[in-house]
Amino acid sequence: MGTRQQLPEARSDSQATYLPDRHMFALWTWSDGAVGAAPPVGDVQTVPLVVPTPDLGRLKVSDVDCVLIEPDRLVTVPLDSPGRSVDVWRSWIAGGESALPIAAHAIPDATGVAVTTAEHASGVFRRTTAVGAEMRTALTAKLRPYQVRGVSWLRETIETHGGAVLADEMGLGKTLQAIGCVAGRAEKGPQLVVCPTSLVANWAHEIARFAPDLRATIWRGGPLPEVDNGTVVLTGYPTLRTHSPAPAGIQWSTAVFDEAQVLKNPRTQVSKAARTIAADARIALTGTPVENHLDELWALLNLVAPHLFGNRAQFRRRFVRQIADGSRAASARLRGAIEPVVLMRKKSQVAGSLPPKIHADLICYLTEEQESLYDRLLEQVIDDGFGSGAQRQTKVLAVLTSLKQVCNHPGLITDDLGELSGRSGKLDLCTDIVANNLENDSPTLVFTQYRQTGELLVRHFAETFGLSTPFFHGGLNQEQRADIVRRFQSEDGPKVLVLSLKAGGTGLTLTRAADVIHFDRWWNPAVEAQASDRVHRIGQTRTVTVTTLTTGTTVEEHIAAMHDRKSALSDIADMSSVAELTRLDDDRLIEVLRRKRVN
Amino acid sequence: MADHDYGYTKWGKDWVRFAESLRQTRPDPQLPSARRMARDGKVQITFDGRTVRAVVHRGRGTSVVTIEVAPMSAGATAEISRQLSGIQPLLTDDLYRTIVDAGHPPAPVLDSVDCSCPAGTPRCAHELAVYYDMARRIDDDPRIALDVQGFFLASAGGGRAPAEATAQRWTALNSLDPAVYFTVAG
Repeated sequence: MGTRQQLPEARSDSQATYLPDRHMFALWTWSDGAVGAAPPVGDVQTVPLVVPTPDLGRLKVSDVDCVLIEPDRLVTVPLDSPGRSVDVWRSWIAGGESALPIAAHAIPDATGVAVTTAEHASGVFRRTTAVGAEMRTALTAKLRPYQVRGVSWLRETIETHGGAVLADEMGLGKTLQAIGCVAGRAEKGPQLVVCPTSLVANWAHEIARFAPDLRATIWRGGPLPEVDNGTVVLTGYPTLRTHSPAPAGIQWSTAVFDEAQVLKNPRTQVSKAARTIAADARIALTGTPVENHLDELWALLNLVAPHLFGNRAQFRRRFVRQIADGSRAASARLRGAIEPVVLMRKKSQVAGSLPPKIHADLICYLTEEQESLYDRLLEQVIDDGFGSGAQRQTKVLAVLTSLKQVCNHPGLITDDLGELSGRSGKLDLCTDIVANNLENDSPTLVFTQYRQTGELLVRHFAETFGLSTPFFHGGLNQEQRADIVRRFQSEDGPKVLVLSLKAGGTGLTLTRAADVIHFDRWWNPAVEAQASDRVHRIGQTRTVTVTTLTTGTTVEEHIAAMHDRKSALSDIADMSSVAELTRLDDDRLIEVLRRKRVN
Repeated sequence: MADHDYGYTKWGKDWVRFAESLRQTRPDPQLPSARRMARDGKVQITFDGRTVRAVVHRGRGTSVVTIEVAPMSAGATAEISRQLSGIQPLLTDDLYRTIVDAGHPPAPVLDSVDCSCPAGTPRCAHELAVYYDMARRIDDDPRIALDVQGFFLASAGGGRAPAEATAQRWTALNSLDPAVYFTVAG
């Protein structure tokens, strides 16, 4: 570098800027009076930062090539000539508190006229580090850094404003972050979680799994159970709507509204019921991009922070009309105005902290129709017996198949396939997920083992979303198969593709989708993983989300539990698990198949 | 005025009125640049009870504006306390009208206004910029309108407005010295 003699700063210095929303560091370089190439320690992404102009006369906002890393890694990552910002943050991680240069906290606000203060950056870092240590004992799950920040952000925001909207993209673990926050508030009084009915069972499951010290009880109407500190009451929006006086009579320490876009219309009964709930803190969770629906956004803001967003007409006058007219200044102002109570992160923003694949294992509930059909089928089997020898294996397989079909949809057994929705907890949950993905323009693959289930899904998506969904199954010839793949991979291809696990599980490349749903569970985790890899292949640039749907209390839970034990082994013969079941005596076999009562 | 960016709530409008007095007959040529200063983040306000202290950056210079707000009358304090129920005050325009109708307009009264600039005129652009910035902040969080009149101190029950927490969240781009970007000042 020839200019080195004239300009002392004319060399490549590595810099570290703290991103308070993600609890991560952006690494970048400064060389010869300008932003240089990102350090070669990871994937590059651009982040708007405040940097000096070349003459060091002024500061301006500019898109900088950065590598994002987690705090733990900043300590060890090899960097060429680390600048002061790197040294200082390394000392903070080690427990020190040295003064931060501007480079260490150079995050601009939404309107580009202000910079995060050093006090804010260091305060967030310190509080989030402390929450991280606390969460390691409070929760049995290990939170990722951005999730720890989610918990510390929820706390700060509740403290300041009484409510918060966590609007992370689906798959980033909003439920887990909310549980982290709820666990920390257990001593303050009873807490309430309202969510779509299809998710109640999953909330119960996740609370039991991640925060075993909390007592979660499901409320389905009628008198409320006894509540005290440490109790978390879980209920669905329909229950809230029809039984609203009961929860309104209690002072809750926290009320969580999951999939809160349900409350987008403030005039509906359910929104009115939500407003009557008295809570010291209100948390709304939503995965839909709130900025695209400003009226919905206002409804959520008004729910969690009515003192800040009181008047709909004012909100419309200030933002909605101007943004509709295409005013960039108004959208920046909106982001600035909601920033105190809305935290919104995308998978692409925290990709460095995510594995290439996220697994979401959701638990569904059985509707009453499913419950009674399931029990009736099992009674029949107990009466008939399983037989012995080769016949026994066939019989066990047949029973398993019909029980799994009940979990998918009761109509598959009873042939009553008129109205589909509201009868299968699994179908309803799957529909919610697909709706969310449609909203986010994320194409989705849905795998099932059963031809009939696949056809049912295709029909249901047509009826619910008006979508024409192709079905890739073993009955198609080579040409038809190739055509489905080609159409799906094209830019404006179908938004959802249903595949049979056997036919679609290998060989195909379907990287236009980054979201996979396994509608039913297969004995061998390797088969599911192989199917998921249709989207997680070379050419996939996004984080892949793999969702499995397991019906709680049923034999599907048994299958899921076997996955956990087996996931290390990849080439187990598919049928060995069924063979294992066949070898059990009748009583133990029935025990496995029978519904487990909860609560 | 055509500019709806400031004072779109009645609570914020009170502060716009300090800049755009209804008694004023001629347009004040300083107003557009005062609005621009507020919009571009060149006004940094800190609160200390009923004292508003603002650092205003204009060109290369910096001025400090100090405004003392008179305490809210006991009648207005009592009336507002009566109207506010629950732990989170809902300061809507409707509430504002109700309080006015009850005979206790909540508009602030300024005890003193002082600017460190050498202009010497009774209304300098820095002072006007602070009025606009106050209007903007109050539009975003009307509780500041009451807090700065000592309402929450007087009524004891309410919590502190989050003005302090948000004040230290951001600092204006222009108020930082690029020379110490990579190092630490002092």
